[in-house]
Amino acid sequence: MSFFRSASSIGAIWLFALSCGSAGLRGQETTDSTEGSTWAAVGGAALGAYSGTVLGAVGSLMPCTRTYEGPACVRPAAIGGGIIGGLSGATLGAVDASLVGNAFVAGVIGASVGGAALLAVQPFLERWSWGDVAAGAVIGGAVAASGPGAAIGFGAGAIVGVATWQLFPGVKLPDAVAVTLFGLAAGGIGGWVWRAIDAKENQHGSSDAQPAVLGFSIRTN
Amino acid sequence: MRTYTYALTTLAVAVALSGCAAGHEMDVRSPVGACASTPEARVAWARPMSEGEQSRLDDWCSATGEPVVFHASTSAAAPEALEGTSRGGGPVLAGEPSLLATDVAVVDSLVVATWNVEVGSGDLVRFLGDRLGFVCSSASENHASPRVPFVLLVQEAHRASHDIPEIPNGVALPSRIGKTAAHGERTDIVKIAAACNLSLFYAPSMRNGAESEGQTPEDRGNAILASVPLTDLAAIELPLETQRRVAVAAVAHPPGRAPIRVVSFHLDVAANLLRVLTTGNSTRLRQGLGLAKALDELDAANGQLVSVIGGDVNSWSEKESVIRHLSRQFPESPPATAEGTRGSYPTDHMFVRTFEGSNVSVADSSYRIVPDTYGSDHRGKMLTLRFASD
Repeated sequence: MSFFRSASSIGAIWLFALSCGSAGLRGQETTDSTEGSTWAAVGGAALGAYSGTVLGAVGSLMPCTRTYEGPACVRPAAIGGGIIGGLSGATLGAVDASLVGNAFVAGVIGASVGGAALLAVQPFLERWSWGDVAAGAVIGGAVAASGPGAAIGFGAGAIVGVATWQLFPGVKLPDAVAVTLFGLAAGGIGGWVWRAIDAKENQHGSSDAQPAVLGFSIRTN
Repeated sequence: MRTYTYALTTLAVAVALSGCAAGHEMDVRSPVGACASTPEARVAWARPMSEGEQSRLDDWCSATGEPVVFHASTSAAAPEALEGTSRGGGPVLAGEPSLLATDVAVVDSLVVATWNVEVGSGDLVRFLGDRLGFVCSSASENHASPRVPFVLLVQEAHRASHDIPEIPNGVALPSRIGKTAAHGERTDIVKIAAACNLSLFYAPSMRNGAESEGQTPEDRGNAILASVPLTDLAAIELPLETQRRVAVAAVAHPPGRAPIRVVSFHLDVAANLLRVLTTGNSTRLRQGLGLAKALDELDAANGQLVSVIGGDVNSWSEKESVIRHLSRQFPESPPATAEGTRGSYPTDHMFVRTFEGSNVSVADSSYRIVPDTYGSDHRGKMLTLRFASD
């Protein structure tokens, strides 16, 4: 049962990391700079690739354990997540450096929370190492850097997972955990894409877009 | 901006390199190490090739006692523990004909069961009587022969003994498992084999935690308990993930029939977070593949045998990768069942491999779950091997 205890602890850590990360993000939203740069694009690509890779791995771990391929199925999920996150992060940095900075700050907060939480659960784990603390930090950072999408996905996944677990006898608690983690990953990676699209649209909106003019006339008899 | 760009790029590359499962190469030819170096070889050893793993496995091993082998005698008297059952490398043993004598000329079937006894909490005596038709009671010196010869693959067997060495400094120990058994004193696998005049091969995987003052040292691991002779004993140290796991393999000799290889194994529950993340959660798959690889090598050395392997896979689904792989490598396995054997989780499974001309098959509908835990936290599973007439 230590596995499930660990899994639930890690779930709690992520939720906390997400809330802290999102708070950090909100706190930075007042930054005035909306200029992109090459360095910001490279930094955004690296941050997005890291976050997407970790999320892809985390989301696919449990579903892949039920396939013949096993770990070989985790790899493409991690690589796919990394590519999507990297491209999204690069777009974000090219449009607005401050958004990448915000994500970075959120990631640092999430990493701190993730690492600290692993330290906190040490008494409940039979085997523990500083490597596990580092892993907690890597996961916490990746989740928090991905923004609110991960929180939305986590919540949706948890609802679906728990509901199916309760409604269908064949569905067990680990299935619910798998769906929740998948939701977290999908939400987080989707969050990177959504933020990149949003930033791109806002960029066009601030420079080129004109307000739509609806022409109409009122006839009177 | 540049500083964190460099840092993040490095981290992204490092993470992208993760998810690479470690190998499962096994050495069954000339294993060396603290647990496999005694020249008086009566148990063959197999272990992972990786030197780093071997070193850590030796640490785990240093806190355990020697493997134990009993050969059932044909008389009702309690058997003696055979000497020279220590750890050792060298070739796999050949059968000892003098031990194969039995009062039944030819049998039609062999029952093979697997059960995790939760470190002695499971009531083995009652299980043997109810499920295998073997009456073994301390009140009686005359043990009734079973209706059908059997082999019981035991996980979380334990042995209490003052011969278990002191705990070396700096060795990590697992927690002690030792809840009060409902049937009285926890069942020591060595004592029950002696009391019931059964063949036994027990190889500890780990010490059963640190003992408090006044407690007898204990170790725990896998065992094979049988009403038929066991030969060609092999201890297979599985790839190290979280805890040292030693699968035990033996060749069982049903009277008048070709020998059957039987294996009891127990895989890890889960690795730590770092290992899960960096290997893509390959813990049980790697251990299962290592076991299959070692058994293939034993077959190559001994000649092909019909094999039945059973154990606690610690799976939460019957569709797990390790079960799919083992089912493919043991193609005559009955379909893995979703019904829970540890609560609602289908943790315990059996796999079968025959070959053309072996005249052995799994009897129809014989693969089933024992409907009682007998005090353990697991229910057992069993099947019947049917021997066709030559």
